[in-house]
Amino acid sequence: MSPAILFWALPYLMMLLLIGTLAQAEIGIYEAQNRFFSSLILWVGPIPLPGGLAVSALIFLNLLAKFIFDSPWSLKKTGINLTHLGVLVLLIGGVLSTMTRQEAALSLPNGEAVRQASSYIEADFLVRKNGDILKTLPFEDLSAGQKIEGLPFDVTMQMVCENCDIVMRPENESQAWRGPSASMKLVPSKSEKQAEENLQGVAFEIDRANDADNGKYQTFSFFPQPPEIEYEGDIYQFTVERRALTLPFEVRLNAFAPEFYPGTNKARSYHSDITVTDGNTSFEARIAMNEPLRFKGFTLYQTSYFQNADGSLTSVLSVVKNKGRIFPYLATGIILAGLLFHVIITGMKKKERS
Amino acid sequence: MRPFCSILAGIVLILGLLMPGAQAKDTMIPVEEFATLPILSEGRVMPVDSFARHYLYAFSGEDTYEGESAADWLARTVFDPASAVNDKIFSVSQKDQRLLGLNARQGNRYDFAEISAALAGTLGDFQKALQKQAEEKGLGDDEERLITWHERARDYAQILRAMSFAIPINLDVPSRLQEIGAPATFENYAQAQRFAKDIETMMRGVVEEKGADWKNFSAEEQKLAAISFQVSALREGGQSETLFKVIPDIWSDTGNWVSPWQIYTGGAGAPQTSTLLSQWALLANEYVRGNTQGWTETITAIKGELERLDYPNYDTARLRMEKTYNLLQPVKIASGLLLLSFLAMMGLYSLGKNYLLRAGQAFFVSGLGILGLVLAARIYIQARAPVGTLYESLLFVAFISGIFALALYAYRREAAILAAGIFVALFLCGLSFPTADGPQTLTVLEAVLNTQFWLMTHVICITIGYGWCLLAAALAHERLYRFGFRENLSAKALPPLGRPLKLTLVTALLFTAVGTALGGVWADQSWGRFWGWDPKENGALLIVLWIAWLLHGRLSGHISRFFMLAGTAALSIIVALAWFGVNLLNVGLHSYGFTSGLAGGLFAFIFIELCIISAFAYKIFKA
Repeated sequence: MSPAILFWALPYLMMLLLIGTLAQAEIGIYEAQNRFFSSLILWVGPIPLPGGLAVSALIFLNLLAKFIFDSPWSLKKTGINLTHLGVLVLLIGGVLSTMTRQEAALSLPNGEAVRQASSYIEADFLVRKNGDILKTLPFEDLSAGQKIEGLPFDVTMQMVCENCDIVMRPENESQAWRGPSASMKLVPSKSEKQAEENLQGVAFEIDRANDADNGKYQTFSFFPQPPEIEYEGDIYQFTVERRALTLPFEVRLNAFAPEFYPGTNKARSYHSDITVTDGNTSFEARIAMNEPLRFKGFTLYQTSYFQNADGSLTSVLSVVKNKGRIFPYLATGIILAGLLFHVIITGMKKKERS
Repeated sequence: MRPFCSILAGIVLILGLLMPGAQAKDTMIPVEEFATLPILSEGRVMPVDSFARHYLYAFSGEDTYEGESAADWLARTVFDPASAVNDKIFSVSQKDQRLLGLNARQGNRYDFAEISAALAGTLGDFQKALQKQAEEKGLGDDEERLITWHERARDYAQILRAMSFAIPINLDVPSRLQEIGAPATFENYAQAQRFAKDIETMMRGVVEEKGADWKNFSAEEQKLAAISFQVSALREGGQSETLFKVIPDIWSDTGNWVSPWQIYTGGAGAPQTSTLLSQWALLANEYVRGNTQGWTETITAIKGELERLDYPNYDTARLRMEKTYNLLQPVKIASGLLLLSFLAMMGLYSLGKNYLLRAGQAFFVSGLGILGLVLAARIYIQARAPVGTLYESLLFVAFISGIFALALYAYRREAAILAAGIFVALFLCGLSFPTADGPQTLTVLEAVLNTQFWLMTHVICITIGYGWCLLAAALAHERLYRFGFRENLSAKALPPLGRPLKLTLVTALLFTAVGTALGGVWADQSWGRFWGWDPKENGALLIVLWIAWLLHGRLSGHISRFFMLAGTAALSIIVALAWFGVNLLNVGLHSYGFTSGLAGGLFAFIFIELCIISAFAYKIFKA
């Protein structure tokens, strides 16, 4: 516990904040967050520096020690102590949220009941056998050279890219590549500024299947023709899909209405009228901008919409599960009380003296 | 967007307007009441005055045209386009002259025909730019300006032909048409279009019999051909006219309004609004005839008819208030008073005369009073908190920091506090002008901002925080100047921070910290996360961390008295980065607040501030 720690940690954190924010214009928020704010180590070339998480942890421990061992609760100090407590609660909430938070998009076509949402960014490599999921491998755990266990034939990862560009494969390279991969090549690319626009993809090799199917394949998110092979009468399909989040209830869209300012294409608000069915009970609700629905630990927000080929509209809701969501509310209240108290005390000192 | 149609329609319109019969009387018609009529534009119902100012400024960069008020210009342009079409209304910068291939000219003014001809030569590039825009690819500066110029030409053409259905054409009607009930003369399109099908049938018969060469036509057939050409040309031009929305769309459930031409060509009319349409046609007639009494009576009748329709999304009193607001330009008045108070305070510092302090106080209070009325008027007109745009937040912070300075001054009679408050309020008011982007600053909000509760809590709280921060920074500047240049104190001889400055700094921390946290709560409500490292959020956090660092550093003895003052003075830079700088990045969920063209000003401000603080440091450390 030392004031010197805070004195040096805070400007370093501000510098990280400034550089990380400026970097967003180049690398996007997701990448900047991972590199500067949520990292233990920030690599500047070969030099390791403390990342945002490490500095925040240091500030937290310093503040915790100060709060426990050096915070007398006199009237004069009450405001400051409360403010420090609020900051501690905020940081605890931040850690809890980071560890437990799940977020996904729920696309609701009009009249359809849906219970499965898909992650904005995270993806899985899936192997389906006759349409049923046989293997689910988190994309972040995949690496080149990795063998996929539990299949009746060998599957070895050749290349994994968090974001791929699709280019033409030169003819002299097309040998051994099967299906569309013979003419199409996935090339690793830097992350998009909007990480949800990343195209995750893999190249893999199948061996010890039928001779006609042995060879190299590629698959990637939203690929309309994922590789399929037939082996001993079963159909195996290989896909990269955004990670699924299954809700414990069903949501049906009854109506979706974007409202525009009259005579313009500028949105005034959106709202979705839905029916939530949970077992034998169901109820109707409206989700609008700034008016989410909270149910069974999930929060459903109106995010966006898109127009289908037939002109109908599909509403897109954000689904969030976050066990730490109450902490910022508590922290805000405590910080408000603490700082308000401190301001009053600071103001009163003058009056006492005068 | 159909560029060919837009330009062709413009050329057809010019030809039509130059034909005999379209000439108007040179007249001076009073437009005060006309300026308060409702019109739908930019997503809201506004007085015609605001519409006129907005478009006149877009074309000419000014809100008057050669001594005419914007409403006068609009009335002349829509009701008497023949007299307006040759106006050198377009102000084209030298950069844009090169872009459009226009010959340089003194005054940089061009008329519609010149602009249309220049734009016709850019159609290829324009279409490529539109394609890029549709594909959401980034546009270059030239491409953006080219699109803007095509839009301006399209808008001007639409305004020119807004009432072309009603302007006199005075065409002699052939006897064949009179036999089926047509009058001897068609006074305008509205009258002729009732016989449009008959004209078309008769004309087809003439062409089938005698071919397309009008020289073979008889005198009667030439009359028919003239009518046919005029009606088709007006209709062709009117088909794309959607700008002059002065008639409520009774069928709409979103509060839409339509232009008269949308009624004639798009079937947007209703029996309930037919009287209104006729009244607008009559208004055009009265204008062209120069009949002041008829004009005034017709405007009264239009207002009465609108009242009878009781259309939900406009309020006459608000329109009047907005027109008065436009007329008075109260932000300029407030800025003038603040400037006088600033000069008085400068005089006080130089001459030490007490009456200058009283004069400064009086001007300051008057300026803030006007600024308060500005905010009250904006609340009334827009029915929301006046912090929805960068421009509004500048005015709000100017007002609020002025009020805080007055309160602090009442608490501790120190002229420096008053001077700091005056400077901050004047600076922010001055800054509001370049961010206004024209005379029309009353706007509708982005969907996510469209919430009274969060505007009233988070946005108000954080902007109040900005106000306190700037006040603290200004006070720190004043102290550094006084200690360094007037009292010649060395760094070691500097007195403590002082209660007013410390109180200001702690209050700034209160509002910025709570405002930032409330922003997180709003984000949790709207976007499902408390903190997303969005540039705007990071900017607000930067202010909080900066103040916390200064206060803790001073408390622990790591920060000297001088550095505390310098750090507080530099708070203005941190606020500028958080308030304006993050908007330059155009990323994140707050990117709707993206503002171009601020970078130069922001960097200049930061550079000047650093120079000033360095000068203070040099003087104090040298002492």
